[in-house]
Amino acid sequence: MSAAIEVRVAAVRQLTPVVREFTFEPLQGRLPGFSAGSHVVVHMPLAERTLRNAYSLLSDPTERGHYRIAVRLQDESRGGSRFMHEQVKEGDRLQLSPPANLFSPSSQARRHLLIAGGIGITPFLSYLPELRARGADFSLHYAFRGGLTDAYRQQLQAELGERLSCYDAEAGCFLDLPRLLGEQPLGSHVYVCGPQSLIEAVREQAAALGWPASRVHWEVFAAPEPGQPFVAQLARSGKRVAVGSDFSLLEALEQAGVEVPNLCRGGVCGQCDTRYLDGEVEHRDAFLGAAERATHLMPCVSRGRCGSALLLDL
Amino acid sequence: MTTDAPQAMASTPLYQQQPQPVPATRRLLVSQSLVQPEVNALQAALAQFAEPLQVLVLGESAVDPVALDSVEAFAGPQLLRARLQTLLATAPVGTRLYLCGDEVFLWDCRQLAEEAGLLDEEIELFRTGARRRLYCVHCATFQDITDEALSECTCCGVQLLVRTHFSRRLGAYMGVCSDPNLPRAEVRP
Amino acid sequence: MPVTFKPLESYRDDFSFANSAEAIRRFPFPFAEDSYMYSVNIEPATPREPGSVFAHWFDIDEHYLSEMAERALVLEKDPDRCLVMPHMAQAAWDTLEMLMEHLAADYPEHFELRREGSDWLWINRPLQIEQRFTFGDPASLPCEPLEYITRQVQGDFAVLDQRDGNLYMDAGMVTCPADWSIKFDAGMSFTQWHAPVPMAHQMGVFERALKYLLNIQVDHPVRRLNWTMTINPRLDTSSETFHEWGHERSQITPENVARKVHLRVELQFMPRLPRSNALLFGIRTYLISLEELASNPAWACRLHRVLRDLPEAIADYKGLSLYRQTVVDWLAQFDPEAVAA
Repeated sequence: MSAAIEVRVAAVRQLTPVVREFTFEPLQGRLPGFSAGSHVVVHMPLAERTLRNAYSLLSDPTERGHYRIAVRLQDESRGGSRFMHEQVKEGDRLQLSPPANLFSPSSQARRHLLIAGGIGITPFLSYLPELRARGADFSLHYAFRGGLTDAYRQQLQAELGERLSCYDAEAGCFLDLPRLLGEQPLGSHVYVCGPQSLIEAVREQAAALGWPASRVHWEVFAAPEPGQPFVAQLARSGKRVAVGSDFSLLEALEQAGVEVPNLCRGGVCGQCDTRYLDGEVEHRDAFLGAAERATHLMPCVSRGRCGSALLLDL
Repeated sequence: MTTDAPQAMASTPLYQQQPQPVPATRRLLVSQSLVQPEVNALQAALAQFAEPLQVLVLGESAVDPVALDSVEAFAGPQLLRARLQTLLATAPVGTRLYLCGDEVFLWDCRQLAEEAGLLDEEIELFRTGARRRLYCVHCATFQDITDEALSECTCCGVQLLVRTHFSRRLGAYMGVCSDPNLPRAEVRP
Repeated sequence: MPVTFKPLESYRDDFSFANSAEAIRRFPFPFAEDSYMYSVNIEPATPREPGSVFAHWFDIDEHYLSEMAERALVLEKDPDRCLVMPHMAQAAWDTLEMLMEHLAADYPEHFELRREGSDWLWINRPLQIEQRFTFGDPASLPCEPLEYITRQVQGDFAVLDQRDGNLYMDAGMVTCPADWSIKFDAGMSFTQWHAPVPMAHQMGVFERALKYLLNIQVDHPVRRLNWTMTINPRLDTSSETFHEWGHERSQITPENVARKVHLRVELQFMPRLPRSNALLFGIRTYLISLEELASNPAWACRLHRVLRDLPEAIADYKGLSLYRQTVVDWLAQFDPEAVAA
């Protein structure tokens, strides 16, 4: 696990009733550079536990002095977004993991179709300066609920003009995916970030139109969904870790002082995959193949089944 | 590594027998010939898809026009390439390209398709015929060979071992000096 | 302690290259055990003791001037050994920035970088270079940026584009490879360019290594050591020149083995390039003759055991088969078990 970066909260802006923007400055030295589409993991010290959530960096990658993220207050928050909205103030100190990128613009694309749903706009904010600097052909399709999840809308309208299309659900305006994805020239790539339902819709529509998976890029940031409590036994250290219903296995391990390498904390990157020796597993990741699942699980999202003791090779 | 046995490697291309059953909005077959049995089988398989099949073919092949929606024949490879380029320049994502011919033909067409923006996953390769391309790693010259294991470089004269290491970018197998102890008429230019 | 550079030595023709006692002392001997098998021996590249080859991200040593002169010779004959595909232009600038920043910080007596916005001044004292240029503008440098900077840094560099869960060798400066060709392998995926390596594919080594490399974060590079053997201190053992050096493998005798046969160690160093998200794959090569190596008898003893027990397929792949026995016989004198037997 990489060492955390210490930052100071330099500014907090309320963008919509549910979206807050945070600007971070380094406590010392320089912040590591990053590429368009990168995210950081913010460590949030709650009273009873430390939560770690991943957020896209939305600042211009050429600006090295600060990082910016935006956080949507989640209705079903486990406390992370609520902490960011209610507790974090200017001048506070926080820890971040260094930037990682699982959602980079493709070097092979000649046209970039960006589709954002609500807070899913954030990774694209770092794409825009990059794509403009490259002189790339791109368009941004932004679906939101006007007045609630439409952060940065005015700014984008002013900067992008005709390259931006807005779809305000409050005004009864929705994305027309078959039309958007039909008749795109060869060399087009589509990128989608937003709620799971939007990502699924784009992937399904693209597949139906004959787009291969390598033209379709997606990123989802979802907190691990709750599940039944279970117990993990660690074969090497002999530790016994109880995993509560609103903890992921990864979080429970971290709480018990067991560090497992990880990047996305959302079942995508494969970094945290861990060998298990016994027990029934509820696999929830989007990375491991069926054969690998017989011996490995991804503790950031997957869980042991209730009542079955999970024996991990840790 | 310079003395491997001629067995397949992770870089050695694999060719298909049957088209993959995947969705597409347009299907395009480009073939070196329409008279070989392999091509006929491929045509028949492609005819099963609902979408119209467009065919470009080299030479004055005997064609049954009823079985195909559209067949265009070309007298030479340059003409065929130019037509393929034109078609791909306006083709949408969802286009699937089927290439059928010897390896030189396949990788020439594939390179052109890639330049037009098609990806690996959108191109299916069906190999017929033995002709293939060899790259001399010593002087960067290409030559066409068939199934021989050794071949003398037409440019630098080095006796080349034909390896199974294959470059998709170059569309060629690597040829490397088969025995560095052998005296050579001349060294690289 | 500042590095001092030896006067020009050659890696070809008369092979005047030799290591000082200090270079031998800091040689990255790659074997942690008495036997060798492929493994994913990748570790976080945490800086190690000052003076060691692991002290800095990019190691500059006494052979700097000679190695840069050798690179220039290779490029003069074969300019395509440096190759940058158009979509790798940003990664090339990223590489230039990373190399200049680290060299200037780690070797201030030799290198200096001054920046005002995008107006940069680069000073390389040993090569007597003083270059003003505009960062991001290739026309402001005498040549393409990757070529420009890697003509001034020891070791080969491949620059890998990361896409579709794989790494593609889409740029590089490769003038001292251990029997491979950038001109042939360019554009290949990680699995494809490792295709010729025996056994390791079946062991799942590349799959695991790829996963590790894909997840490298900015400022958290990793490293590994790799090794082979080379006859004479020849840096350019590329596939391109195999017909010129391959015959030397059959010229090893008990009389010349100690001077001619060299252990060749690659310190591979892999940092994330921050702005492009490409991965830099540095391959820094160290050569040491058996004679020099045997000045450390523990190394000689261990190398004896490793080579004696090396699986045939690996020995073949590394091109050792013709002379392995001669080397093993010579090294036996340093192995107490072999001497006793």
